[in-house]
Amino acid sequence: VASDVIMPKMGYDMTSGVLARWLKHPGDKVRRGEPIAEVETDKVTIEIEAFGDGTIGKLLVNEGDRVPVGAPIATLETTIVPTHATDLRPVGAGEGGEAIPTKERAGAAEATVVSHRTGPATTPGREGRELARPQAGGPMPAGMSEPEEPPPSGGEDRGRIKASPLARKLAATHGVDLATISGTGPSGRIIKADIESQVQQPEGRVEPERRQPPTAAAPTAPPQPAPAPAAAPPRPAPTPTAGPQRAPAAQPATAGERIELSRAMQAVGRIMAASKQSVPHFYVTLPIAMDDALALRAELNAVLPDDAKVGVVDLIVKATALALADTPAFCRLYTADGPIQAGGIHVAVAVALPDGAIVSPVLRDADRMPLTAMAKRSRRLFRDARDGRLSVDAMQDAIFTVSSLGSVGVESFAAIITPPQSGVLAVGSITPEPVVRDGDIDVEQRMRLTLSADHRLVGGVGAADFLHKVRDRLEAPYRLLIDTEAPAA
Amino acid sequence: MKDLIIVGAGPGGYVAAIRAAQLGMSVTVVERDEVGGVCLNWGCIPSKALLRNAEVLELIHGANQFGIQTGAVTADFGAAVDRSREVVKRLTSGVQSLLKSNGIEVIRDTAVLTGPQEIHLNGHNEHLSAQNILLAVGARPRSLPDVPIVPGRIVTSREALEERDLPASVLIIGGGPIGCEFATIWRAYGCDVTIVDVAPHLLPAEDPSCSEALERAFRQREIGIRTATSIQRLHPKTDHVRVEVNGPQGDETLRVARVLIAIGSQPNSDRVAADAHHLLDRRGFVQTDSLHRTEMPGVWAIGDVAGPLLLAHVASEQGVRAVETMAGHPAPPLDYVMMPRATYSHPEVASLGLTEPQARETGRPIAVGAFPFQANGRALALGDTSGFVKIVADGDTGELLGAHMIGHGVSELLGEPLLAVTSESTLDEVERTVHPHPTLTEAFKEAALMALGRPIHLPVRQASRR
Repeated sequence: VASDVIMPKMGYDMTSGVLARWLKHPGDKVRRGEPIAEVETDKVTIEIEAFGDGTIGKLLVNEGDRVPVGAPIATLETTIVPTHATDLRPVGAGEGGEAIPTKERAGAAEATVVSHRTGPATTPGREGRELARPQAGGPMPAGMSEPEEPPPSGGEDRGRIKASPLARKLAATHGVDLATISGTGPSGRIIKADIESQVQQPEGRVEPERRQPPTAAAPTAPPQPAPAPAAAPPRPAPTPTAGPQRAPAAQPATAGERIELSRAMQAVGRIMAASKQSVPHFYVTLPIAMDDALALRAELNAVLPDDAKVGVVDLIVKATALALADTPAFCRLYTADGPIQAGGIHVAVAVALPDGAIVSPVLRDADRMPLTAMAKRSRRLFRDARDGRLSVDAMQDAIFTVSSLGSVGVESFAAIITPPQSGVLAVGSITPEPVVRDGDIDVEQRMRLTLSADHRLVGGVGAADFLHKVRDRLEAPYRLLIDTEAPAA
Repeated sequence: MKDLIIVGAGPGGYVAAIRAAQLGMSVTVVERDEVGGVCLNWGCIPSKALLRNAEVLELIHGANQFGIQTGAVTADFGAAVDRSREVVKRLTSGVQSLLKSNGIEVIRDTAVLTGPQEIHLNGHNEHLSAQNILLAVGARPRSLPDVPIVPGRIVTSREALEERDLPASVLIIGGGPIGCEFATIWRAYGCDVTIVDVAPHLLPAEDPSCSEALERAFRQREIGIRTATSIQRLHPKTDHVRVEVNGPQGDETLRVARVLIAIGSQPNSDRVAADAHHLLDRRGFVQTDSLHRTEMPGVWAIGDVAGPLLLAHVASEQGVRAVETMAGHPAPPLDYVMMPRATYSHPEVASLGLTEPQARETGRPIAVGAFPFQANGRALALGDTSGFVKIVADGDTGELLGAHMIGHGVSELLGEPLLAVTSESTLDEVERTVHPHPTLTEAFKEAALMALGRPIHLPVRQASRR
């Protein structure tokens, strides 16, 4: 049976993708699940997999072609009759209990035709997982708030996640959040193999010097090799000096030559421009004494295993999450339809990639997750981000972003909000500064936090109040360990 | 044209036929003999009936232990064989009606594969075609090279299940499940039984602790065991067979009334694939991928003719998966390591998964618990406390890697570890599951507790074994 392999839709705002590379050629035999081609979207490069065993017939597009979603890119002669489209259930439509918002479901379901990995009757929820498209993010990251399609948020299914006892145990051991995994067991149940594939894939690619996420570096730590985009001014948007994504160092350009930005950088730029033009930003800065927080971190790390060590950014994210849970105004999202209630305290952390692109993995329910578990999780997410392996699940539903340039010596900066989030916290470096205390001059480890808030959701006093809540927790850091307020929702 | 032709109506073929009918396919089954295959007719089922006779007889012989005096007991082996045939008849007629009620056509004939979608019916001398063809023609007992079957003297299980007379002495070549089961049957009826195997232990595929326990139990019942011993020559005479063997004690000549050859099976592919030898491997098994497809489009093979594990329940499951794949619902490939295995000797041996040495070889941390039936109330009440339940688990996660049991009726205890494996339950779930008291199943829970380091029903020092 000859069937078309089509350009999958990997996110609801995706309209086309670039066929980056053919991995198979006409006449090649492929097995179900084997990658056929690499497709580049705005943010990620993704492999398209064969939906069944068979032989590649014709390639219908050339490498480098931009192909609209849904258009055929190749034909596949299958030896097994592919399942009828009517048998395909939308992702999450079964009993999977996956917390995938409906909009994403619709998008992912269209991709099932392309990556039909296992029997549809038994595994709704798996399809489209790798195909899904990460949400852009950054210090002022991409938010894809296209007017007609408000981003998924709120009202998510907090129901039971189906997972085998062994899978639960392994997930706990490896710090994997079950909510970010699609199960391949009966009725979408998460099984051992799902956790193992999640855990093992990125690890094989870790390079030693990248083990410490740069954003988590303490001021005493040696400078991180990762080139954060802005060693430069408080303009955290990626600079155009970085070459196209995945391209080796580009030739120096001559004056007046047109520069081709990587798609990832184009996407960030587009979304940032839209945000800065439509969201009424305002900024509040507060200095914070970090002596106690650093002391706590040192004490914790003295006893924690390597893979669970807590970074400075983890402390800040935790303090932020707890403050968010205590500040209803920041637990709202400003969508095209106006403000809506967020579904949980999901905090994005901006990570700069070596090529200048920025992604923002999301720590779900960061207010409830114990600090050490969160540190473990963020370490894994950063690593996945750097390896270009973040799943879409790990990048969506954020209500707020934390962005740090502290590790590259920036004292303070203001960041751009990623719509529809309520705000973004820009983290500067920690430096010893003289302070006057009880008439004496003392030295304090000081850090400046700058909050960018959406004035439609919150006013100046509310923003200051929120920052005070963050400060209170960082200056009395034991609260990061015991403080687990219920979300204000 | 039919949707599916299945050649062979054994536990692989008839189960596949029913599943295919459920999926809406029109199905024709070609069977040269009775439905049910070797399993129902000449394997699992009649041997289990004979083993039940052996068990009853052993109970009667041991009645004194229960304070029951029986006087002289006479046992008619021919009647036992008759009973086994009766059991078979009831089961095969049951399968026939199952096939009929599912609207499946059964043709009594032999067949040869003649093309991707075509077979030739030898008796009817006509061609039959279908969208898919599933080969499920099974296997037959293998004999030694150049050793012809001599009725009553040199036999395989096929002949042995029919012979109503009882030999005075038997030499069983092969210490696998079939050899051990026939040893149990004939010994209960008073035969002089010796088992010969080239392997160092009986049931060499099982956990060594089970093999050793079985050998001890057999020796107690005066079953001769000659392991690490090979057969040099067989000389059938009119009233006996002279057997030359070579073992640890050197060359020896044994004289027995009958020889049972139980050294395994050979696939029946020579008949059905007479014109398609390229589909076979060196040993004659039809080669398939993990979804049971052969190289010839539309031709599939399952069960003993394909391997890799020649067990009835594996054939059935392969059949179900093959037809589900044809219907566009492929299931993940079978994990053959986790298939249940049972030997219905006395005592029974039942297992799944990795043996303890195999698990240790993987290099992962493992936890082992082995709980003896001597400490199980139900076993004591039954008067049969031989054997144990052993669990091999991952030391970190408690994932069940293997279960190995020997003792009275342990094949019935396999369900729990199997479900645990399929559902990915760990030792913790076994621990949290309330087991009925008093039952043999408690031994499984206690073995899990031992692997966790906290058995309830064992003295502390015994429990510390890891």
